[in-house]
Amino acid sequence: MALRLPRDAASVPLIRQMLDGTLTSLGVEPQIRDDIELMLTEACSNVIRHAEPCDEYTVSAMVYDDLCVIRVTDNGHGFDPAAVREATPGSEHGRGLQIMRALADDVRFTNKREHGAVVCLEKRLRYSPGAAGPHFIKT
Amino acid sequence: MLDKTPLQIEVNASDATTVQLALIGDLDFDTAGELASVALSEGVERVDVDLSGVGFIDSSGLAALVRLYQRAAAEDAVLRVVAATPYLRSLLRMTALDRLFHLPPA
Repeated sequence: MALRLPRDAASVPLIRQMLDGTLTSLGVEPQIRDDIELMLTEACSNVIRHAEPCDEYTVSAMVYDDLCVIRVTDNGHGFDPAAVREATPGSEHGRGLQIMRALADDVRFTNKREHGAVVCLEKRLRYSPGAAGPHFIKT
Repeated sequence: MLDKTPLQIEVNASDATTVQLALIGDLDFDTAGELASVALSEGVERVDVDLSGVGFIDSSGLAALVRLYQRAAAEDAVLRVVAATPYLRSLLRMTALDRLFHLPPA
């Protein structure tokens, strides 16, 4: 699935709930769904906070067998993950990247040649017993 | 425009030195700002936060809790998270906030 969204805070719970609904229908385990919801939220809120001056962004999510690949793309001024300082226990900011790196099996940040950034998140899926997903997802 | 995710904040200030907060709903990028409206009056010594009704929290929600912690500290009060779901516990541990918020063992 792929969606173009307004760069608006309220778009984040919307896309989060949509993806969670899809993964629930496929029978993905709750713990994995929780992790995906959170890493997706972090990627989208980064765009809303930092991707000046664009007013839209795109989220795509693909499931291949047991792998979920999420791409969050914006047309802002790009992003340098190395410039983000690690959060110390008492600091307010810097936990979004820490959370994405902890929950995803793979995280990649790419700046596009024109304008904007792509965050690509991958997560290995596990299915509940008797789940529908594994029967009809074939690459 | 799109609807906000709901967050309910229940405040119980039964005695002058303790504020009990129960948060219910999603504490996320969309709603985290609402914690700024919680009033901490002079003379407060403890802020106890119950997160067992929070279904979802993200780094913006965690940042809002850290801000509340700092506001409490400015009044010489201690903020504690007194209850949380297993998922929130693992997230607080992952971000090393369990110690800052004095999270009791499960």
